[in-house]
Amino acid sequence: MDNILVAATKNQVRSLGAVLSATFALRSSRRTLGLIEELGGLIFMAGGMLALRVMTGAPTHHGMPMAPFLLSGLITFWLFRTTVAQVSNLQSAKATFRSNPRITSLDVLLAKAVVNIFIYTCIGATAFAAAYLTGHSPGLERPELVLVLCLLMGVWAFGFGLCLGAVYLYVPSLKVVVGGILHMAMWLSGIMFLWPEVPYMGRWFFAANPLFHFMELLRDAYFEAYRTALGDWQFLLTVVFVTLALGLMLERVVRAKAQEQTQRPQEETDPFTENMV
Amino acid sequence: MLRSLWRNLPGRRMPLPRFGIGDFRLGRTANDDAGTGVVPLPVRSRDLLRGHGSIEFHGVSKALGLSGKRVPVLQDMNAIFPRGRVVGVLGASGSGKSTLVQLLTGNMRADAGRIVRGMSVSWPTGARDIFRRELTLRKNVRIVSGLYGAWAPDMLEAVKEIGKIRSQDLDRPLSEVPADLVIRGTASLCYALDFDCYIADDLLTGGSKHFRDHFKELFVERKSTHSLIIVTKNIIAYRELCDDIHLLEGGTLRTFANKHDAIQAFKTGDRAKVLD
Repeated sequence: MDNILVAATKNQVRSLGAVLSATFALRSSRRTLGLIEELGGLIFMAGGMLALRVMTGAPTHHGMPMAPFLLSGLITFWLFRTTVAQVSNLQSAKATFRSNPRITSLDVLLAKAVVNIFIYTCIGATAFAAAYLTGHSPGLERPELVLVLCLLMGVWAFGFGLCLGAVYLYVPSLKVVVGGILHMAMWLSGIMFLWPEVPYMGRWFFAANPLFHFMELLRDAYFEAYRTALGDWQFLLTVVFVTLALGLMLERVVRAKAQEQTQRPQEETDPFTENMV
Repeated sequence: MLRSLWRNLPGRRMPLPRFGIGDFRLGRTANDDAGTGVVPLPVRSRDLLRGHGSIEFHGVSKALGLSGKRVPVLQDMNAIFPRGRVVGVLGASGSGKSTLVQLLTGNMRADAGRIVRGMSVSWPTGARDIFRRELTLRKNVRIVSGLYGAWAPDMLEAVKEIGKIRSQDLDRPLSEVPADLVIRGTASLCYALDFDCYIADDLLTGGSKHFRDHFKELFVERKSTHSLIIVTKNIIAYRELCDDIHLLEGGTLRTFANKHDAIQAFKTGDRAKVLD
């Protein structure tokens, strides 16, 4: 029994390694324009927000330089948004490896999430280093916490994506609604503002918004100048692990349904060979 | 390193039982037209077989399509595909050949029943989508070798040798090389990975006639130690290669006393559309 368990574990590790390698190679070998498009949105948003703040004569925000303040929030939110988009497509997850029985759709989704988290963590590190080296940002106060928060955001996005993917199988039109909600969520996630600026009547909403907790803790870990009064690690960890557990369970429950939609019976007769004997 | 992990499982170290045609019992026999049901295996044989070099189908059923419009493809199918035999499965269009292949390879789960795989099973040898077209042949071989726990440099050498692929073609994206080269690459890697059982879906492999003949010769060499299951509607090309031929009809397998009878039954059947 132990040997079988060890063998199964080794097989799983090999499968995951192979899918990760393939997914990374596929992502990096994709047309250059695709990557530029993906990053273009991020750069455009960051540039626009930054220009607005500079033009209005506000180069700092509560003592935090504007460039790293906006970049940290935007990159983390982009990490969330793109991971959710990649993971929530349960139907086509296995398509890339459809002839390979050792690879499950969960392996593929996990690999996609890992690669996406890795790419955005690298983008974040590059952007923060560039801002620091050009004198636009102080050094990260607690870089390890910033890294942990990025990874945690990725894990949450993975779980959230799985939950959404399961729901999309039954209500495909919900994709459009969720797309709109994610756009709204960006403006309500605290990319451009902090807890002290939140109006009193809306505080209940932001106190229950995990994205806002992420942003608050991120600014706390990044800047010496800011200490959050809201960011709660316990709340965040609970949300992340409950979402992840729910997502993994839902994915397993709806896997057959997802595959059902891609497997169809053949025609009883082949119209091209019907008269050939 | 070349072998898959199945080799290391405890059961694999035991001596493998040998089977004759008489032991190879499938769901229904040709003489079982009255539909008396499944011919069960003796319990003793069943214990001996399980996990020791055969693929067993026990009451396997599978339906395809969206819920509400599901079409039963296989119904309560019982079959044993033993090690060391070349088995042909004949079936008309829409009889469930592709579903059977998917179930054999483990790519699809049965709705009911149980499938026991006591052998490592290949992907369909003629499958072209094992490799990603965006990546190079070298990268693809590395990825698939890693998946099956094989040593990638050895696999690359084997692919070059079996598929007669030049080194310069290894580093070009597959979208830029001829389709024939991709087919040679996937088929060669499948052979090099040394599975216990190879599954062929209609074509043993694609590509040029010379390569197909070469590949067929390679399988003839492995005939005594490996299994080959050819699921097709055109058995003529592989009639000589097969030890047994069975008919996939009405969602289950019918066995026959000899290959000729199976082919005749297929040709004269209501839905016989064999390309002769």
